[in-house]
Amino acid sequence: MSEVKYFNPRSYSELTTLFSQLPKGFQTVAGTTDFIPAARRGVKYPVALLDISKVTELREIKEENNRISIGAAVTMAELVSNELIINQCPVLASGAKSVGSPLTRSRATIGGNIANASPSADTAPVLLTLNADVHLLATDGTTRQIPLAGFFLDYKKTARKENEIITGFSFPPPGPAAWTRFAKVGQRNGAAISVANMSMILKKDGDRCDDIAVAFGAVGPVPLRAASVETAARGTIFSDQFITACATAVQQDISPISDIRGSADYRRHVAANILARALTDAFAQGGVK
Amino acid sequence: MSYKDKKFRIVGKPMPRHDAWEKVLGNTSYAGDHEIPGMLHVKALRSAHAAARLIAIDTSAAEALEGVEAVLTAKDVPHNETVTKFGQTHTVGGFEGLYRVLADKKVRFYGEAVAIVAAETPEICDEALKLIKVEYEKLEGVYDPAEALKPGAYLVGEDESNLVCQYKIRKGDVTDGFSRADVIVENTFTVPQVDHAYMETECGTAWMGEDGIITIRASTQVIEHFRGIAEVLGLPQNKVRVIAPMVGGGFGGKEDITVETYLALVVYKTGRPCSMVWTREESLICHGKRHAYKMHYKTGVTKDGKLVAQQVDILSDAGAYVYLSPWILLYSTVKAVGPYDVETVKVDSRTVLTNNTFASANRGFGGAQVCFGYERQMDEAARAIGMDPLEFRRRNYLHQGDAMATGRILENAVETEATGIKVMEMLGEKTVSDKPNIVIGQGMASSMMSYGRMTFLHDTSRSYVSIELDGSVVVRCGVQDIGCGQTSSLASIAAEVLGVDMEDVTVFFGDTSLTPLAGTTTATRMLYMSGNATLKAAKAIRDNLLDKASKHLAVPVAELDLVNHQLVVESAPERNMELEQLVKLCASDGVELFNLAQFNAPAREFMDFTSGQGQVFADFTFGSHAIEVAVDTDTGRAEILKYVACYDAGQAVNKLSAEGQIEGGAVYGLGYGAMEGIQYDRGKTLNPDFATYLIPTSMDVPEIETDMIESGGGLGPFGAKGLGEPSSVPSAPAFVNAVCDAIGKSINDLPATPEAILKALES
Repeated sequence: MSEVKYFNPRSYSELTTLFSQLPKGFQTVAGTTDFIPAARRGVKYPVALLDISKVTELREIKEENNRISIGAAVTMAELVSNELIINQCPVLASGAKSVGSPLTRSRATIGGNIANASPSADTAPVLLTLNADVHLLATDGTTRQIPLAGFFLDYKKTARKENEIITGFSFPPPGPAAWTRFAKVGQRNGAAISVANMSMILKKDGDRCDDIAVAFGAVGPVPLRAASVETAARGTIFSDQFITACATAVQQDISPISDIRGSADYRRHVAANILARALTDAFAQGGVK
Repeated sequence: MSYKDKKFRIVGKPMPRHDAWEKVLGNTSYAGDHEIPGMLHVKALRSAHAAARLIAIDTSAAEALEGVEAVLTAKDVPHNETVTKFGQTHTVGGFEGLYRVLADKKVRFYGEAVAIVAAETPEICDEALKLIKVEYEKLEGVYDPAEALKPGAYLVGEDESNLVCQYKIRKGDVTDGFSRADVIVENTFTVPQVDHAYMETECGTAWMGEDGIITIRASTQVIEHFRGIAEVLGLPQNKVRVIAPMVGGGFGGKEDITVETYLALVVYKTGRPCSMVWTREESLICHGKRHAYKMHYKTGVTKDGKLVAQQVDILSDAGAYVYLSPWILLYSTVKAVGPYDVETVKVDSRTVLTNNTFASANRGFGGAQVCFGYERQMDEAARAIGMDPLEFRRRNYLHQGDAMATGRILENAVETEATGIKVMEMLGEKTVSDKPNIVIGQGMASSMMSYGRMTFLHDTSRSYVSIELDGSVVVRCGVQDIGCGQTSSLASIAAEVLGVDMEDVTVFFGDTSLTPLAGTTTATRMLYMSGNATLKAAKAIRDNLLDKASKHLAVPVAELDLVNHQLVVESAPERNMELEQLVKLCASDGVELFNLAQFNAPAREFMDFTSGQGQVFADFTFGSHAIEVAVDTDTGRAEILKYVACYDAGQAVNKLSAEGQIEGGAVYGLGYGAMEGIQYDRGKTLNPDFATYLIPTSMDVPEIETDMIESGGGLGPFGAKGLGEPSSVPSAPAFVNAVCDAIGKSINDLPATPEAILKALES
């Protein structure tokens, strides 16, 4: 057995001080809910683990300058119970609540959910529809902020460089006028991995769809914004044809595969169905939310 | 005999189990909790192919690794192959079940143990496993039982055919039966292999005593495998001892040998104590599964709802080794038409070797598969003639005194109809959906499931009961307690008969050297068999006590009773005596305060295999489940709104445990119905962990409402029947029948996943 170096900083300054000691090929971890199962499946251990789960500054959720920012080490359980998130952005709480089981939610972090870049990550479509930015910190001390929309490059590949860690996310709150939904299709109720998931943020003016953001997960190599659906929906008056047009458009946006959890055909079906259901509900329910 | 049946103090009441607190507090020591100073860790090298010839195994590098004590392959096993003989049921004569400790010459399934390593730490074991070089010649293999039956098919084993065995049942002439039918309904049903998914994986420790005896302390349902282990090692049977501590779930998966022979072999070779704990992946890949079946049902009914003919064809996938496949198939064959009186019956069944993981015992033992077949078919037939499913069943249920298709007269209580009526009453009116994408359906299923082993096995159990000088009671019985209250129920019985409380009874169990052999904890037989043996022993002591008291007090035995630690004199309460006092009186007069009793189950010879006529089982448990589901037409997800179940328990010994059995059975069967199934790619398991092999979580399990009829008509103690297996059998068909009712379409394959439901909806 080869030795694995383990670093466990408690603060941002401890973290940055560590950078000089980090060997090349280190891996950042937090809740390890993806890391441990992968190691069990035989994925090789890295030379060093940087555990950021105890970094105080990365565990904060706050609102500044009309942007909500969430530290990478915030757990799913914290997102579910955080007042700010519940009030300003319930769709994110809903996405986080659908991750795994209580056991995993108390460990799994939002940073890890995005860094792992699984197509089925439940917070990914939500953050995509929130137009979130990813905040990155490199071991040379430089920082950068990029839109999440450009972060997922391919299956399990992201724009994060080897020497970068995700420190958090920020986004403008969708506002009280927005109608939001997170929908998940899993094979069972508890501890389910998404066969398809969807986040929607919709602003309407009477029967008209003023603005819409829709994103899907587990229906392609990466979580994705449904551009064709958004184009078809934006500015359109709600009707049966509108629903049909959106449900048709989504097929161009997604490219599901068949795997152990479901067939491509099933994923195409349910993606269209949960989209149509959300749009129908959005316009059927008077007022907002 | 003054024992007053039915005036129970303990039996039939909801009593907390005597082992409950220790389990809840985490104090119970399971097999995997045991550590022995200096013990070796044992791991298996598992085949990377489902079908291959073993050309060479080079263990030298692994043996040279520091910390490795032994690397063992087939050549190191004194008797690597042992054979169980099954009897005359093969077309070409008797057939044999081969048990092979380590793969030799030919690998039959993915994950078959090829070598074992014993080392100082589990990590060194892992390193050593990587250093073993195995040269395989990959073979094509066969993965589908229908393919395996074709002439020229790849041969899984060394025989000239992959067919393990076949059975038939003939009652009347089905051609004539079908000619009298108004409607004929024909369907093919498939059910997949499923796992037991117990919390505790296969594990144990072993050591050699200073007396040279090898002891294996393992998670097992069968301590009597000590005989088989001795045979493998070439030792006399009295030199091998097996202990079963509390087991963290069995469900049939620990009926066959798992870790025992590997542990014994390492002790035999090294003289050192050792431990083996299988990973979840090993458990899912390597131990026996419930058989996958393909079943064809052709049913003839009249317009007024009478079953006039049923023709059933069963094809079972035995997997890579025979194990218990022949017996399981016999269970299925006998129960193929369920608890119904069908005028003419023709059943043909076969089980066939393939290169999938071997299949063996799993709760229901062949009963669950056919229940899905006959109960789906009952709903389809009811729909075909436009009759209510319960009404249709009521016109066909077997009753006491009726004959099964095998000609066997059901002489004991048969309350299926009462349970069927009860569950539909409990389910109530169908809920009305208030959402456009939600459709609601109701479904039921009834079943008959044997308790007790097949009568030609001449089953026995033994139990020893004694009363100590302070009035406390000891039971010694070689039961394996797999979590269902096997020992607790014996405490209830002894306490009831001897007039003490459950806490006053200590049950020593599961040790081939110290507790009288009680047989396997399988086949829903433990309460029936060991309960009867314990009852017999306790009654004998009671008789001795009352006899002594009668003489001492000059009061007839009929007026005496043992209640709450007292000898009660009904005619003269002032003469009551403390139990302790009576025991001391007996002890000083040399009255026997112990008894070793044996209970023999009714025994029969083999059934007539040419006609399928005869008796195979002592008795059956009858019951029904009913379910209401809400199906989401967007996603195919089926949410259970209501779940009810009712059984004739004969006599519940512990009401809480009995209810727990029914609830547990419902959940177990629900996984089978809704989500479980081992998936293979040419014999390789594709879902070897709990992230991919799905079982119901607490979020998926509804409140389960249970009810019991207590006919008193069972063969167990106080008229009890068994609930362990029966309680899980009708769950899957009840679920699928409810889904089909909701969507108005048929689903004939398990599991009925959301995807399968959506597909059916859109067909």
